[in-house]
Amino acid sequence: MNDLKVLSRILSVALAVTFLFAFGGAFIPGTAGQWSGTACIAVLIAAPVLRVAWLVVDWTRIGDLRFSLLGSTLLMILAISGVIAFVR
Amino acid sequence: MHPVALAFAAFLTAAIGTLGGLGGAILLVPVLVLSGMEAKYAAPLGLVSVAAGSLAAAPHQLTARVVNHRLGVATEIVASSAALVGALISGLIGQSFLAVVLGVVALVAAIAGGRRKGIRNLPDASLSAADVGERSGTLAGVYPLGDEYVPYRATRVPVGLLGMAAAGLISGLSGVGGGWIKTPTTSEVMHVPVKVAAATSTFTVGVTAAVGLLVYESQGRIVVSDAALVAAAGLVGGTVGVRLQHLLPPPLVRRGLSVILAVIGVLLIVRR
Repeated sequence: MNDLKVLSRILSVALAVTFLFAFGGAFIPGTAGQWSGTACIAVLIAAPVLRVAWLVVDWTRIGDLRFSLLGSTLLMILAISGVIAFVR
Repeated sequence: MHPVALAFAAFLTAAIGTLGGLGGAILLVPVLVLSGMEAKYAAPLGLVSVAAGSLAAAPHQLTARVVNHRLGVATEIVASSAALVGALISGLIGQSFLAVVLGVVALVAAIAGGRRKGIRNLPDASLSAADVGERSGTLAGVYPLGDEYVPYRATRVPVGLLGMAAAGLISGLSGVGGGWIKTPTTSEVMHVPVKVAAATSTFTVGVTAAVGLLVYESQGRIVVSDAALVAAAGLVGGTVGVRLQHLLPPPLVRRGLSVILAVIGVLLIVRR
């Protein structure tokens, strides 16, 4: 199994977990529903960042250093954007 | 908005957004605002729909090896940087002027995609299933089209990056995702097959949406119960959209994309 297939499996699990959290957030009343909905949003935020990080590691491993550097730069920009958003 | 109507709107826009690589927020946010929801609460729900559609599409698109991640990462650096600049200067530009610019861009993209006939990238009989995927160290790859395999290479990259910068800037200024600019730019400017362009945009809009959601969460603008409902419906819609994208022929996807862009363009200009 190649690395993209492993990533695909991981994201399939994330998809199922997010759906369960989303369903709970939409239909469970009270604090439990609130937590479930918040967890859903957290997975939606984390999944694409994990995907880029995974690609960076994969590209570094196979020696595609130019794109590994580009991926790292993108992660850095995302981190800076997040920090600026919180500070402002 | 009634929860059933909200779920239906999120399902439909995520399906269309994933099918065409548009993201879906550009469709969902106007619907929510028209239904009476305040824009400051509608925009986060739009991004939830985009993120859900992107996540729903990911497993299938990764297995089919139709996303060009190298192209996505390279263009997203420019788009994200421009989006950051756009967000920082968003108070300086009038929303009415911005709506007209968005509308004109959508109409130009619609015309560019709609005018073109046939398939630009033709199958190569010497290729096999083992060749499918992106090429290491380049912005090229091979994607499956029925029983055949089509090679492609991104061309006019500097011009394409300018388009991505425009997409990011507009995204940062307006608060809607830039997938509806990224897909036509990747397809019509960089000459990447429309299915690869749509799949790659679906990946990158998920990245942009993640940052946007972080911002909205920090501002306390996400109504969790509504967001969860939109996410659940968006995940289902995204799954349906990516299946349809796999089944439909590229010219049909491209023409459908043009029609949707034309509708978006007219709506933006009329409702400014």
